Amino acid sequence: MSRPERVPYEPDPERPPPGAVYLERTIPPAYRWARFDADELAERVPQASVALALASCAEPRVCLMGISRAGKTSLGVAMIRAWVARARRPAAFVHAYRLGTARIQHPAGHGEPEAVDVAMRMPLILLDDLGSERDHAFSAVPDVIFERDAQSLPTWVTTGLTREQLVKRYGLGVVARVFERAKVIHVGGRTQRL
Amino acid sequence: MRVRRVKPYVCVDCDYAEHFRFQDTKDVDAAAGTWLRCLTYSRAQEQDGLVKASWLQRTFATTYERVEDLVRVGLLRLREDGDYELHAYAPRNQTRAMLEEERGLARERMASARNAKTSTKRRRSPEQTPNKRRTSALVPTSTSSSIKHTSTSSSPCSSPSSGVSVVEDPEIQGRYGIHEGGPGGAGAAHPRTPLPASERGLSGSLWLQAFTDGVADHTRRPCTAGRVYVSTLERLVSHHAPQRDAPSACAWLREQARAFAVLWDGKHPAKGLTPDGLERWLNDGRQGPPEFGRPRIVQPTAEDWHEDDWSDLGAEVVR
Repeated sequence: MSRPERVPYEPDPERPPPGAVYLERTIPPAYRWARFDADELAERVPQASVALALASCAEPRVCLMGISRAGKTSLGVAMIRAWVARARRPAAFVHAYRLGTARIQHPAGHGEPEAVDVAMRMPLILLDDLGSERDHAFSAVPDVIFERDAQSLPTWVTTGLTREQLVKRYGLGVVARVFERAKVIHVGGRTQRL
Repeated sequence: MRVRRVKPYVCVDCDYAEHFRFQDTKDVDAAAGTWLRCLTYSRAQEQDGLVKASWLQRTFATTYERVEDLVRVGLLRLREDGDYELHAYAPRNQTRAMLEEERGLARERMASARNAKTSTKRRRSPEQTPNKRRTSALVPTSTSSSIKHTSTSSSPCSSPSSGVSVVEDPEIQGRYGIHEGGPGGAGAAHPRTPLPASERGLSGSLWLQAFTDGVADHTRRPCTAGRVYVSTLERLVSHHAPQRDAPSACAWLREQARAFAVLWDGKHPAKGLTPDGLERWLNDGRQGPPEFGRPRIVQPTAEDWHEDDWSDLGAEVVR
């Protein structure tokens, strides 16, 4: 039998890019609307912050900082969607608090929990609300940051803590691995919900 | 038997010279001084407000018009026997009868204390043993008695083998700073005497004011403390204050109350931010509130939020 002729791959513009399906599964329903072309984003986040975020989508390390309910996560979700559409690679939205409890809820002797494993190996993750997780010895957040830094994998974070609080919480080693050569975007504006 | 007499004193309002009778005199300063000398003379000689005419004539031989001025405004009253009498001497200043009554009560109090000591057979020698009730660590509180008191008769704390009470145990003495001769440390050679009975009445309100000022100074909230706490503050001043005169004691109380509030405000101290709580705090060695785990780090509010400098890590703040 003759082998079938190979057809060159042509992306279907109607189908979502590879990796986008997995990303959409990790994004919380509350942020499904968050895209750069969504009108809600313009209402929620100042235009200056949106422009800065759009220009930083190709950066390996981005830190979105600001007060609570300022729109950090909305902007991060829009950015990671844009990154996946451009790079055509998978990415994941990771809650810091889930990394904090993942190991406790996982049976011992069965390796890392899936959430931690995904956070360590995904080409790009948006680590949301760094510092909001419970402070205990089993938290996987520092390990994920160390592992991704060792593997030179890009990591974006959003956090409402200041530098002093982050250093007090994680130590300078972890903070340096997050912020070294990173683009820091201060998401300005007060939220309308408070 | 040795009779210990305290130095007599008089009680005068701080603004006594502002009284309308003094204001009616020709020379207020001279009248105030003259009247005060008459008062101290009468108290020192236990004359119950009587001022002898002979003493006045000798003392104010060249300035007798001052005495006449006091008589004119009614601060001194001429008696039928020729002597003078101070206006409203008692009960603010003690009469001879009041002094006798107080001395009698003191005698009874000491006699009962000595009888109690003899009955419990705790005197090891016929000589007077030092007063071990006054210690720096085991001061009586509003809810508890001293350890020594609990180990006297029922002896749940006594050692059955040695027959030595807890207080006489050297280990316990070392732990609580109890030494032969009174308070531990520097105060061992000079046991503190109780405050005079009049001190409570005179300085009680000032102690209360000092305490509430100290607490409110930190909390920025109104603080009140009723007269029921005067006895607690009296114990505090009696046992803890380095200087027991009213100004020093008030300054010390204000400082201690503020330090207590700084440590315990909002941390639910035993007995609250009250003089009783302060007393317990002092007796326990100024302990702070317990801390369970590390303090939780929370996101700052919009007012506390500030941008940080990340340049040392090579990060770029994009604007």
